[in-house]
Parts: sequence; structure tokens; C-alpha cells
Amino acid sequence: MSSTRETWKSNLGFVLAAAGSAIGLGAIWRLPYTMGQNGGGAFILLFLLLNFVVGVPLFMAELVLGRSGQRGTVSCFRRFAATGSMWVAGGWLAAAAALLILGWYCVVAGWGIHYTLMALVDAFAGKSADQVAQLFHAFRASGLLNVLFQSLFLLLTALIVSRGLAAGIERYSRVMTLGLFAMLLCLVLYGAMLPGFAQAVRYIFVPNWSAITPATVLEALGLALFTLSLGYGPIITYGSYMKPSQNIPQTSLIIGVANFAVSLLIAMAIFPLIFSFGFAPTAGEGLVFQILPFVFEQLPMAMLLCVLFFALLIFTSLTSAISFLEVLVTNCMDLLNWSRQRSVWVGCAAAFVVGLPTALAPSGNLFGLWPDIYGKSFLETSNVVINWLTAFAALITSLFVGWHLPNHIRHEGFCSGSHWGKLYVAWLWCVRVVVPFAVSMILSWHCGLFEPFLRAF
Amino acid sequence: MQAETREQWQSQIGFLLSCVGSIVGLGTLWRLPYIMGQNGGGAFICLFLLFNLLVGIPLFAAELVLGRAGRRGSIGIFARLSAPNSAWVCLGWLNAAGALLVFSWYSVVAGWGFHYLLMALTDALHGKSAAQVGELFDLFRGSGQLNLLFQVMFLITVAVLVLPGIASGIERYSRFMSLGLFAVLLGLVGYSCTLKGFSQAVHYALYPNFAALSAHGALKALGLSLFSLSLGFGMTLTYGSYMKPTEDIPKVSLAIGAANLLVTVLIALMIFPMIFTFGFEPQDGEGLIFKTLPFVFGQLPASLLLSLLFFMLLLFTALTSAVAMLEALVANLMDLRGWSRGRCVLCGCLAGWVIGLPTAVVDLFPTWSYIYGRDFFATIDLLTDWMLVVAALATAIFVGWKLDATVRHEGFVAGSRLTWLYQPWLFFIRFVVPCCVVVILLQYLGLLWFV
Repeated sequence: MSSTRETWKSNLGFVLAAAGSAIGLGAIWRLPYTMGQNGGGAFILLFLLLNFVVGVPLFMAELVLGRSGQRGTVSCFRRFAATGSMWVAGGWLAAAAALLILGWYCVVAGWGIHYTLMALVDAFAGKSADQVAQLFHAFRASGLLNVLFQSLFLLLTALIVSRGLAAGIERYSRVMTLGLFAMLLCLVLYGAMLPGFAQAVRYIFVPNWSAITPATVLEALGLALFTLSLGYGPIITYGSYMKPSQNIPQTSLIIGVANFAVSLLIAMAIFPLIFSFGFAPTAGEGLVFQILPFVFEQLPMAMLLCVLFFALLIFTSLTSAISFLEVLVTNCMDLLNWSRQRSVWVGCAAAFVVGLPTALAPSGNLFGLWPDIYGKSFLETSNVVINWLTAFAALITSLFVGWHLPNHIRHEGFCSGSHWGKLYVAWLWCVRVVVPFAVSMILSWHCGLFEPFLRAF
Repeated sequence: MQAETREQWQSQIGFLLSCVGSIVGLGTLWRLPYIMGQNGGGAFICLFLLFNLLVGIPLFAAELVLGRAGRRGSIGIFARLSAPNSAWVCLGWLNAAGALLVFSWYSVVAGWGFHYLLMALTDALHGKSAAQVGELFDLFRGSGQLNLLFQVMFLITVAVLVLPGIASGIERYSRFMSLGLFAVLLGLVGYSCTLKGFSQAVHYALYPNFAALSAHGALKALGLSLFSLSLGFGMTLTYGSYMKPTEDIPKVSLAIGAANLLVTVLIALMIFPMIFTFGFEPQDGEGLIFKTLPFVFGQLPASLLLSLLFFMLLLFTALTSAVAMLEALVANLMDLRGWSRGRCVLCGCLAGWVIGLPTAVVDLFPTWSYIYGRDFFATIDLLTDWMLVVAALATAIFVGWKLDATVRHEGFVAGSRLTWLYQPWLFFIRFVVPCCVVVILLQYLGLLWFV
């Protein structure tokens, strides 16, 4: 089985696929805002530090686990753990997180398709900011339209994943991630010509040390993990297709840097637009689907800009969504011995069902009482659950790779194909001690154990 | 021939923990501590212990003996151990029906456990007043879709646990969850010790107040010795049917009775300090678990962790019991229809889902409460109580008087060094248990009344 497993055709293809998986919707609508709000340059430095002490080592650990395991997330753990051991929970948690996130990704990315369509038919022309915002609400209220675009996006994802690794995931991820870089550069260049650019640069880069509190540190820590797609399983899964000759430490560092650079570029693409029209910085769907379409409409080459931006959004989500679907697909193929086709369609059906409450939320047809009861929408609730799942999965993965994986397998996994063997010991102790400590900090923070302490600040 | 290849428990500790898990259910969590406190605390415990020894544990041992001798599901057991075409098979059906009914409402109520786990995770209860927390529960109860969602989630979980079979499914997961239950329980009791309501709670739950113990309370202790051991729902019969001949039934029964009592006392020591610290009156039922306690957790430090732990405990409790109920159904289906385990699990869950629907969706039968004077949920609860008492009486008579004497003797003493217990046990099963259960039955029928 492991001898006939597919492998990446080129190292570049793998790097682009992994980077595409890590750069997701969060990188577009949350990261730039979080940077700006939490002290700009100071936060960036903190984020960089934590990225390289916590994020990248764990990224390497997931790749090592995947390449040594040569299977899906569950079977990777199962292969190196005693039968019936609780370590396997790490694989299941990751798979569950992948399913939950794929569920809402398809809905939100479906909105991206819808907005591309609107841009193409010039539906925003001559509308005021309020009217553009209204259009979003009108669209959300229609359950049928939401489900239509959700299904469309799922179909796209399924088509790519069903073609297999080299001909599907690698090929399309490569094209789309490169396309994403190109579009992003265009948007940044465009943004540099706008009057709000100076203000945006100040907002993003000027360090404000007083904004750094323990809460900010934990925020940066969480981002360092979650902006690298850690804990969902894509990295383990993508790692399982790696050749022994590929250089894990080097690739991980490259991806860590690329991911960070893209976040900065996205911030520099979005904030000049926002500041030029006097909007306050925000995050989330409001930014992407209500403010930006209006802003584009005011600028020269409105339609091109708008289409470019939403194509970027679709590409970003598609490269992430295929990696989430692939997590489910490899698990189904390993555990149930299904064919790839069958696993893809079952995975998509599951994601469709999980996404339905989000797609139908404002129409009130499904779980109309959800926000009243939980105080959050279904999407936000599932994000909370995903955060918990991934935090536990990351914790289990780091402990598993750091302490439980047999020494020679771990060493071989890290050093194979690499001349960076002297980093091994440093990496090992990061994975053994620093990462678990950092993740437990995040978990205790979620639990509210730091509340009295934080209140003192 | 099937009997020869029947699955078995892998280890004695796994079997013990599965049994304890199956009998420690939602009732243990929300009813037992309350009744204990209301009826004289320590005095009630003494009486409960006595009735446990006289009635509950002998009957528990009797069910294990029947199961091990029958080596089938509840229906098959009575079919095999009684004369052909005898009416005793009805007792097996009664057990199966009881299991199905209890399973159905469990799936709904334990599903609420998932709901509260989610509420805890999203911190939805933090900083809410007691009235608001209560309203949230009522709001949730009114939403049929949400109730169905969590019911289905719970059913899927149970199905996943039962699917791999006895040793690699039920035993393995029950063992893990029962140990988890003990650990979480001890942790929460430790936390409760630090609260200022602790001494009042100890006084309420443990101080022997014989003045508060009425004849009515004594009857309750008698009834509880049956209910708290989940006798008459086929769970113990089914679990017994997977026992090895080398296992010691009398010892196991005593250990399980003791563990049950211990857990009850621990639960009381966990819940009441929290209740008293915030000046609530002791109460029982869903209101305690789903309204009062969530509010209390929201007021304490580390509220998210506390409520997470508590609702995990609730889920573990419910899951280990629901697994036994589903297995009681599955074992019967496998015997009767010869289906594969997977198919039986699916059918059992579907049946539980359908019967649970009226509990989950309150407006399915809008006039039910008006007509029956209680909602569907309470009706099922009452109905299963009846079934349990009748089944307990019939089981005692069957084992005591009808069962072949060599089978009974062999079944009781096989693997045991406590052979001297056989005669006393037989005496209890023949005379004491039937008499006591008849007293309960008379009380149920309203013929026995204490003022």
C-alpha cells in the first residue's frame, strides 16, 4: 500500500499546495485586522517569533508524522501507536475539524462565486455603501441561492480532488497559488497608488508596544498555529505524499515565510482601499462582502478590480478546501477501503450537510433559534468548536511526535533528504516542550483560567 | 451452536466497569442524591444499603445467573431456560420493550448533554442570571430541530460505540468512560470541598436524621434499590450473557452494588455544595441539571472548565448506560433475526429515534399533556417504572421457583468461592424479593398508603 502511494511530482508543487492550504479565508479577513488592532509592528515581531518557535516546528512535526506514516490522519497515528491507544484521538480530532471547517468554507467561498457574478454583471454600479450592504443581506436571506453557490463550490472542490494528487491537487493548487500571488501583487501595486497607502502602512507596521498585553501574546500564539493549517490534518495528509528525498526543514521554513509574507501583502492590499474612503478597519464578512465591493466601485477599473479580488478569494478558499477534503478522502480510503471517487462524493455530501445550517442561517428555515440560544451564529459556534478540536489535535500531535514516535523514525523523518540535520535537536525540544506548553497556554486561556490574572493588567 | 462462539468480556475489570457504567445513569445523577437528602440523609443511606443487600443485589445476581446460563438476548434467555412455548418468554419481551423505551428517552435527554457541552464551549451561559439560564433551556426545548440534531448526534455516538462488538467496543469504551467518570467526579468533589456550602451539604446528604425518615421514605429506599440497579430492562441479563464461566457472580454483584452507592454519595457531595453555596433549595430532575447547575457554574471561577467537566460527566454517564440498552436490543435482534451486528445496531437506533421523537419534538402531540396530565417524557418514565417492577417480580419468581435447580446452582456458584451464599441468596430470591416487590407494586396501585 505504502509503496504504491502517490507522491508529489515536484517540490515546488508541494510547497505551493501546502502554502495554498495554509493561506485561507482567515488570512484575508482576520489576520490583517488583528495585526493592525494589536500593536502593528510590535504584533508582527511577536507573531514572527512565535511563528518560528511554535508554528514552524509543529508544521515540521506534522510533515514528519505524515511522511513516516504514509496514510491519512487517523492511520498515521494508528501506525505508530499501540492498538486501541488513545493517541489515535489526535487523528480523529483533526478529521472532525477538517469536516467542520470544510462545511462552512464551502458556504462562504460560495458567496465569493456569487460576488464574482455580481461584479461581472456590474450589479454594484452606482450603489451607495448602504445599498451594497443591503444586497448582501438580501442574498443571505435567500436560502436557495446560498445552497446553490455552496453546491457549486463543493462541486469544484470535488472535481479537483477526484482527479487524484498529481493531476488534481498538485496541478490546480500550483496554478491557483501562483495566480493568487500574481493577483495579490497587482492589488498591492494598485493600493500603493491610493492616498490611503501611507496611513495603511502606518497602521500595519508602526509598532505600538503598549498594545502588547498577555492577551495579545496568546492571540499571536493562536494565530501562529492556526494560520499554518495546523491541527486540521492537511499538513499531515500532504506530508504523507512526500518523497524521502524532499527536505522537510527547508520546505517548512519557506512555507512559514511565504505564509507570513502573504498575510502582510494582503494587509497592504486591503487597508489602503479602506482608509482611502474613510472606513474604520474591521474584520470578517462585513469587510469582504459589504465594504470592499462598494470601495471597488468608486475606483477606476472597478469591474476588473472587483473580479480580481473575488477571484483571489475563490482561489484562496479553493486551495484550502481541497486540502480539507483530501484529509477526509484519505481517511475514508484508508479506513474503509473505498475508492477515491466514492470517498470524494461521501466527503462532499458530509460537508454539504454540515454547511447547510450556515447556508440557511438568515433564512431561519433551519435552527432559527440558534443565535438566541448560543449567543452566536452557527458559523461562529462551529469556529469555536474547531478551535478546540485543533488545539487538542495540535497538542496530541506534538506530544506524539516529540515523545512517542520511535527515535530512529523521527530522526530519519526529519533528516531524510535534508542537510539541515544539526537543527534536529533544537527542533526536537521545541516539539517536546515549547509547542505543548504554548498550546496548553492557549487551552487554559480558552477555559478562562487566566481571567483573574488578565484582569490585573 | 451460536452459543459456543458467543463473544466474551476480555477482562473482569472491564466487565465490572461496564456494569457500573450501565447502572449509573441519569437517575443516579439527578434523582438519587435528592431523595437521599430529603429522607434523612445517613438514615436513608443505611436503609438503602439494607434493601440493596436484601433485594437489589440478589436480583442483580439472579439476572447475571440467567444471562450466563441463557447466553442469548433477553428473549432468547427465557425461551431457552423455560419449557417450550411457555409464557415466560413474555418476560423477555417485557425486558426488551423496557430497554427500547428507556433508550428512546435517553437518546433525547442525553442529547441535551451535547447541547450543554456546546453551550459551555461557546461560553453562552457566562454571566447569565438564573432566570435567563432557565429561559434558554425552555427556548431550546421549544426548538424541535435542535432537539432532533442532538438526539441524532447521541444516537450516532452510541451506535459507533456498540458497533465493534463486546470486547473491542462496549467493554473498551465503557471502561474508558467509567474511569473518566470517576476521575471527573473526584475532581469536581474536590472542587466542591472548597466551597462554603460544603458543610451544609455534608449535613444534608450524610447526617443520619432518623426523624425525617418516614414509612414513605422507607418505601422509596425499597423502590430505589431496584431502580438504581437498572433491573428489569434486560441490560444486566444481556451483559451477563457475555460472562465467562470462571467469573464470580456473587462477588461481582456485591462490588457493583458498593460502587453504585459510592458514586451516589460522591454525586451528592459534588452537587449539593454548589447548590447550597448559592442559596438554592435542593431539587431533582431536569431543572437541577439543566437550569440550576449551569447557572451556578457560570458564577464560579473557571466556569468554562467546570461546566465542560460536568457535562462531560453527564455524557459519560448517559453513554455507558445507553450502550447497555442498545446492546440489549441488538442482542435480541441478532438472535431473533440472525442479522449482522451492524444491521441490528442500525435498526435499534432507528427504533429508539422514532420512539424518542415525541420527547424531542414537544409539539408533535400538542394535546398529550392535557390528556394524560403529564408530558410524553414523564409518561414514558412512569410506564417504564411499571414495567420494571413487574419484570423484577417475574424475574425473581422465575429464578426462584421455575428455573431448573442444577442450572441455578451451577450458575450461581460457578467461578465463585462464596458458595455458602447460595442458600441465603435462594431464600431472598424466593421469598424476600417477591414480597418486597409486591409491596412496591401495591404502593404503585394505590392500595398501600402511608400518611
